[in-house]
Amino acid sequence: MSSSLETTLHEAPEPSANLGAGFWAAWGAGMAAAFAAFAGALYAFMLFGSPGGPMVGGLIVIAFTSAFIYVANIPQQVRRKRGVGERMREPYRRYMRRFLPAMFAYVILLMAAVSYAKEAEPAGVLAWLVAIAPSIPLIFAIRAVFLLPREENDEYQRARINSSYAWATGATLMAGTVAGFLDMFGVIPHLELWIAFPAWAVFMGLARCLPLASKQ
Amino acid sequence: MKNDLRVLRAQRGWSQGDLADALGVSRQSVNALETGKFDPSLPLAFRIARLFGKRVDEIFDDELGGYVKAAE
Repeated sequence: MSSSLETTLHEAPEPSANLGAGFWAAWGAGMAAAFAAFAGALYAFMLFGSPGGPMVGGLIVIAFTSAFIYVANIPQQVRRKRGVGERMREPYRRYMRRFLPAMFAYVILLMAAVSYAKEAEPAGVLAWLVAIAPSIPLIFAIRAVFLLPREENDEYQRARINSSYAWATGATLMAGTVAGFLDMFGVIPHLELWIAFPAWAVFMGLARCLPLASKQ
Repeated sequence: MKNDLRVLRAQRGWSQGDLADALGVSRQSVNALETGKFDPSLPLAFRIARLFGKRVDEIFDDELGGYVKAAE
C-alpha cells in the first residue's frame, strides 16, 4: 500500500455505522421495556380478560407491538440520519409485509377466541375451530420467517440469517428438551407448547449478535 | 481470507456503498468482505475481480500459498 493511499484511507474514513456502547445499552433497555410491556399486556389480558372487550384489548396490544417495532427500528433511523443507513432491502420489506399482518391477525384472533371460549364454552368441532384459530396466522408468520432466507439475494445477509436460524433451532430443541423433563417430573410449572416459536424467535434475535461461524 | 478490497476501493475513491451498488450486494456485505469476516462465493469473487479488472487470486489470498508450492 503506497503511503499517499494510506493517508487517503486515514483521512477519509467511512462515516461510522458504529453507534457506541452507550447507545446500544439505552436501546437494549428500551427494547427490554417494550418487550416486557408487550408480553405483560398479553399475559394480563389472558389471565384477567381485556378491558372493554377483546377488540379493545387487541388494539392495545397492537399499540404495544407498534411501539416495540418503532424502538427496534431506532438504530436504523439513527444510521440513516448519519448518512450510513440504507433503505430496507426488498426481501426484508417483503418479510415485513407478510409477518406484521399475520401477527396483528394473531392478536385479534387470540383475543376473540379466548373471550368466546370463556363465554360460550363451545364443544365438539366448534371447540376445535376456536382453539386452532389463533395458531393459523402464526403459521403464516412462521412461513414469512422461513421465506426470508430463501428470498434474500445477498449472500452475506443470507449466511447471517441461516446461521441465526440454526443457532435458534439448536437452542430451542435443547431448552425444550430440558424444560420438558423438568415439567414431566413436576419440578417446574407446566409449560404450554406454543412457547416454542416465541422462544425460537428470542434465541434467533440473540444469535444475530454472534459473529458468523468461523471458516476452517 | 485476506484481500485487497479496501485498497482497490480507496484507489477509485469509492465508498463502501458505491462498491456495494456496483456489485449488487448490501453495504454490510462489502464491510464484512473487507474486514475478512466473510468469504465471498466464487460467483461474487469473480464479479469483484471483473469489476477491478484483476484475477481473483490477485485480490484474494487464502494464505495457503506455501502449502500449494510444497505439494508441487
